[in-house]
Amino acid sequence: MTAMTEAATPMSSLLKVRDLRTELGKSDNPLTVVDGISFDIGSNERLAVVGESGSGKTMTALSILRLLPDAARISAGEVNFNGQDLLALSRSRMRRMSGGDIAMIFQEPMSSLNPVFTVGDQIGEAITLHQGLRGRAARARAIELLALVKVPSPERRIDQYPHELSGGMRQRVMIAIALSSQPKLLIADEPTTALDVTVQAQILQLLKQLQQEFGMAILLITHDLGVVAQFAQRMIVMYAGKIVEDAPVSEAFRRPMHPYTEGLLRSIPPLYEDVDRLLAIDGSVPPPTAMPSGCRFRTRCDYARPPCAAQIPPLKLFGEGHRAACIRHDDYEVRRT
Amino acid sequence: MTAGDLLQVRDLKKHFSIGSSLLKSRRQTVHAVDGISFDLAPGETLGLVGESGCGKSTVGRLLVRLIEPTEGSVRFDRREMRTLAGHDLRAVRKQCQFIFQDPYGSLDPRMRIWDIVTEPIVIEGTMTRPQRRTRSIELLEKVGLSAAAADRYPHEFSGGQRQRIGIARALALNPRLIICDEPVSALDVSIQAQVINLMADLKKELQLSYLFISHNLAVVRHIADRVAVMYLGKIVELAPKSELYHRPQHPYTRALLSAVPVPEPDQPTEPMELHGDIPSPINPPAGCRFHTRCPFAFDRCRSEEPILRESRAGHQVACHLDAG
Repeated sequence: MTAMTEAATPMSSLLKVRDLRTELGKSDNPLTVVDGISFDIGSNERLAVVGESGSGKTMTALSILRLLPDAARISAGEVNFNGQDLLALSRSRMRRMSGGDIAMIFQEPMSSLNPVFTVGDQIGEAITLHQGLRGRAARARAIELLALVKVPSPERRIDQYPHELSGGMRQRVMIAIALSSQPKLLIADEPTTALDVTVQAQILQLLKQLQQEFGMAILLITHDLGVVAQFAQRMIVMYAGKIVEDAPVSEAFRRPMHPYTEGLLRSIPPLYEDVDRLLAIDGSVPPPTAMPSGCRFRTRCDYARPPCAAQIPPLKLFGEGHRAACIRHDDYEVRRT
Repeated sequence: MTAGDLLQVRDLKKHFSIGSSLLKSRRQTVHAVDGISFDLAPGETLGLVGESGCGKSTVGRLLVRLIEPTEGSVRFDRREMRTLAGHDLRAVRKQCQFIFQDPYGSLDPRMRIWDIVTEPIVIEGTMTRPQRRTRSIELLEKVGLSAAAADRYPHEFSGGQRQRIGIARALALNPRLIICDEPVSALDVSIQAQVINLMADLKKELQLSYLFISHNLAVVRHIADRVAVMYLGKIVELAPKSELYHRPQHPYTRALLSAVPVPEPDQPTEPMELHGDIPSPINPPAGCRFHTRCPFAFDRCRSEEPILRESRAGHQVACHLDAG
């Protein structure tokens, strides 16, 4: 449990994840997709989890909610939410928790909504479940929620079906459903990835505003560092199932301590500047069946040296709330003193 | 058109008829591409940007008559595409190849890589099998893959590698123009940079022209020489890239640029507020198509359609605002 002592704990943690390990496939020969990660979310914090496909970011979210697909399971660790151990809750208590105090929205709003029910039916169902309101009262509340997420003419929209709405409107409806339980934590998995850029900007603005208004925490999963910069206060970078960096956003962008974070930041094409070449990261993420020994990023890392193959670098503190898992800085410290 | 242009597109239109359903007996028309014009020089890259449904992908398909235009003219190397048929059409198409967005869906999972890459040559029937084999390895090496890739199958490759395979196939017939439809949108950012760098190198080395279709303004800026912005089937602005990004004139271009989340935490973006959603291309608004969402719209915008005209050298814009 060394990682526990190293966790950069914000003032008051709403969610504490400790040494979480999630496996996929047969139990005698499992693939570890989330590999012993520890982090916290403050009760009023916007945290982004960043990483490329296969980094384990979505699996982390699904583990927290215990919504993993059948082939996957949590094999170790603790998930503590508001003082309760989520992994120890009964199925029925957990079901009330997810969609209750913890809500989630996904990338593709169309596949999360039921095409044969109206928007009102689907928000109403959530309201009945979480607030016990029925009939006219539930409908009135549903209209309120649609207005809250800035759906224009909510009295009319409430009787429409998902296919009658644009992608952005559907995502607003999903947010309305998520808010119906007044969650303390909203997990948003790539909520704007399928949306056009002008609509994305509106949805991010809405989420930020709701987060501040209701004092909830948001865990945003994204691959887009532009979205991270504009939305989150703190970011966690995942690579091959592990957290490689955890830092306040402005700090991580200004002074990335892990070469992977540095590489990601350098590969973004700038919008207002001409550059001759983009600085790509060579190679690609190794499959879970062929993980290199030691640091998992070393096969793609410009700074890799023989010691990187010897052991998995632990997360170390590099300043106020800034953790990174790279041994190259050990040298720097030695050189400085 | 200057004498050297490779591609000249004039007033190109594509209207799709959509069917009479049980309840709606009236046939309706989708104005997917509604009168666009542009030129492309040899060795030049034109970026085509816009949001979903603006018609940008349809444009790519119309150029080589993968779908037939409703109206308008496409000249490739001074030959009118509409009048070509049979052997002549194939000869022109040989010079225009495609790269698609989905590196998973665009490669046949049961074919070996070298067969995939040289399939266009098989269709041409110009090479023997051993010649094809040699050519495939040459192509794979050109896109940064090893000769060992030749005998493997698509599922053995990552997304970025598959996109390289798609590029190798596009190069097989020595094309002059490659139409790239969201070629890096499905890739992770670090891989995206690798593929963009490769495309830039190939362009220089082989004197290629690209029509680069994308919704990602930062990616387009990096690869394009000029950029055209589409909205509801029309080009609303077309300019050299630094002009477009630093002096955008159309309110829609400005809105798009202002909405891009820049990766600078201390530099908050201030997205321009647009009214409502993109209208349906079935009944596009009268006058300027953007007037229903434009914060600057005035009476003239609702009745009279602005034409694309040059506002300064090489910078075309379709807006009544600065027309005086």
